[in-house]
Amino acid sequence: MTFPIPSTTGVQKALGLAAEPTYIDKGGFKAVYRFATEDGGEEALKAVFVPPVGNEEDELRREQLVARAKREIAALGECASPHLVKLGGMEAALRTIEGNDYLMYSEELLPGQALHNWIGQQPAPDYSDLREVFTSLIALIRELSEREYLHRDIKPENIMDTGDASRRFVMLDLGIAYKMHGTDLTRAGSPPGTLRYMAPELLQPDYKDNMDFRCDLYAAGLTVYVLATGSHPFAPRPEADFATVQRIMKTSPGLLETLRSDLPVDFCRIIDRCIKKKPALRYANLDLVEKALNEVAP
Amino acid sequence: MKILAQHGFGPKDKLAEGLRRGIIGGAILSPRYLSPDRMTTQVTNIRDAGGRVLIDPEFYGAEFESHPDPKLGCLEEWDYFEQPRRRDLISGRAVPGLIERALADQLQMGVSDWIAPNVYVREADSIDTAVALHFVSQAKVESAKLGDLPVFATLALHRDAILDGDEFRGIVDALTAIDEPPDGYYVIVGSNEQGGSGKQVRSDLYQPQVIAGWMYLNYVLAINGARVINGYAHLLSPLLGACGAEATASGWFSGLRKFCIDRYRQQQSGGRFPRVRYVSTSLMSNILHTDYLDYCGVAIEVANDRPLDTPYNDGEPTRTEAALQSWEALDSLAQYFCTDGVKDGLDRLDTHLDRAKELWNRLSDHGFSNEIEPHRERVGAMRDGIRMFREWAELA
Repeated sequence: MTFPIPSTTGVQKALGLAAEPTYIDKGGFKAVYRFATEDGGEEALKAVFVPPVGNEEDELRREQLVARAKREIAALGECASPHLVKLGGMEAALRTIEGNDYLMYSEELLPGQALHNWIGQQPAPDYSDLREVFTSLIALIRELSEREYLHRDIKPENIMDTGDASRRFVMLDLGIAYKMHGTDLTRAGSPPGTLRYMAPELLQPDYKDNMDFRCDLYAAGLTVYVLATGSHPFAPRPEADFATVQRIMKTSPGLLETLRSDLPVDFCRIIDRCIKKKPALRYANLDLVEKALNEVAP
Repeated sequence: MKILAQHGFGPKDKLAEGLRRGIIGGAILSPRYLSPDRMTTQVTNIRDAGGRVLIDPEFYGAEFESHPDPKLGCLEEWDYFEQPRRRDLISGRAVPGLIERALADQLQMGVSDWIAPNVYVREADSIDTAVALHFVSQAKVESAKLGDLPVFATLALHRDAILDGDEFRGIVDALTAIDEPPDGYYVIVGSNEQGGSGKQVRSDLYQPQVIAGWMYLNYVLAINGARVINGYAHLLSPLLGACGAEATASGWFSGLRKFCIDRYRQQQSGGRFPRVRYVSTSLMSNILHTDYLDYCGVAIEVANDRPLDTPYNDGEPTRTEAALQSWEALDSLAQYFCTDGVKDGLDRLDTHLDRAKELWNRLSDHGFSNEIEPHRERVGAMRDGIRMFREWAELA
């Protein structure tokens, strides 16, 4: 997916910022900048591209993106979890920059690095770190599911290690949060999200009928599995999407307890269970996950 | 895992003896054979003997209320046993009241645990599945209004509902996503054939996919914290126990060892008085008592070498002795295979079934031909069922 990324000077001018923001990253239809707030602090500025209305398809995409961004903002505002990025001071508004429309708003700027930097590093993350990542994700999934949200894009790239003991691991990006029982804002066809971390049931044609918190649980388990082993069991190297889909549907990952014999066996079994292909074989509720975790020595 | 008596016609002293000998942990009583008055006495007797007692409301049989020739026995004397209008079942409107009445009756009888009623599901992708899920999702809600006994939701499935693999797994998924799940499930899997005849043919329940599905259901429910009791399980008991079942039930004639919904209506054929059989753990089969000594002459391991072998060694055992022998055999299988670890139990079962097949081959090689092929096929189906279950449960 490509979209026009607004220049930093364009953003500065459109928002009337005192200083030019710094471009950080992009993802999907979103560009992220760092900018100085009026009170001397810093926040992350998000610019969500809103395509022009040229035909019926573009109109659909525009409506989808606007609604998606509004959902993200609503979700961020509702969630109290320390493991989810907080909204910043800039309210969401539609802006035109260099001839294109963007929905712009701000979030807190989190220090640290995203967890995908851990992958393949030596030594591999230890039990304490992996457990903390997992428990943070479980707490977040609980908060989201109680509000009838699914995240649907849990992956190492979206998790920041802030280095702050009070909220060390924080999830970025609720851009595709899915309000269950709400308006269906996703287009027909494949579900939004990152293929490599999609639960098998999301790859089924009737995925909207079958998804619940267990697809987030799957992604959380897979995230920990990838961090622990240093490689992705279904996408070990760049390859065509259909090959990854086949692996997600058919390949059984090696047991974590055999790949990381230094980790507690029961912890490995929890992670292995979270990445079972059938949702019924994962945990039926988050209390069961927490109970199982509590039975493993920290 | 405990073996429970699946109660039916003519219990005589079987339950009392089974409890006294410690080979059954209790009984699942049938209101079809016991009026409310007699049920109270039976419940009291079992509880006084230290047994666990449950009542299967058999509500799934209510569909035959309007049948021209029903065979419902005492069921029609029970207040709760009444088929509501179908539209009220589909909408779910009739469900809470039905559950409440059935559980209240059981409470009055003094049961150890409740079994909530349900309908019979013939096809996985059907309205009956939706109705059944109404019943399951309401079981805990309604039981909580009456007291704190554990409630087991009935899940009565025809084998064809399991054979529809994807839809069946959809039911299992739905069960694990219920907001207020029951404490456990009382699972029945129904056959096409009604039992009771003397002829032992390979039951259509002994089909690898049906066995795998039944095991999978037990496994998924158990790993998600639900307790599972299986009715009419008989020789599948160790397989279900290895997957996490808390108890299985079996009775003293063929109709109490495998379930068939047609038992609630009159049959064309009268059926013969069942022949006495011996449950051989090494053969994983019920063999005719008349074959027992012959087989033992060739392979002594056909005998279980348990106390209740004695009546078979001395001649024709009584019906009570045959019932007790079957529970004793099932109990010993349960003790051996239903360990804490699923994989360990399944590995042992694989080995045991391979040996059983070899033993059948030996008997066949020795010239015995009576019913050997159905028995051998049944053992093979169990073995294949375990293999299939491992795949479904992602244990392979």
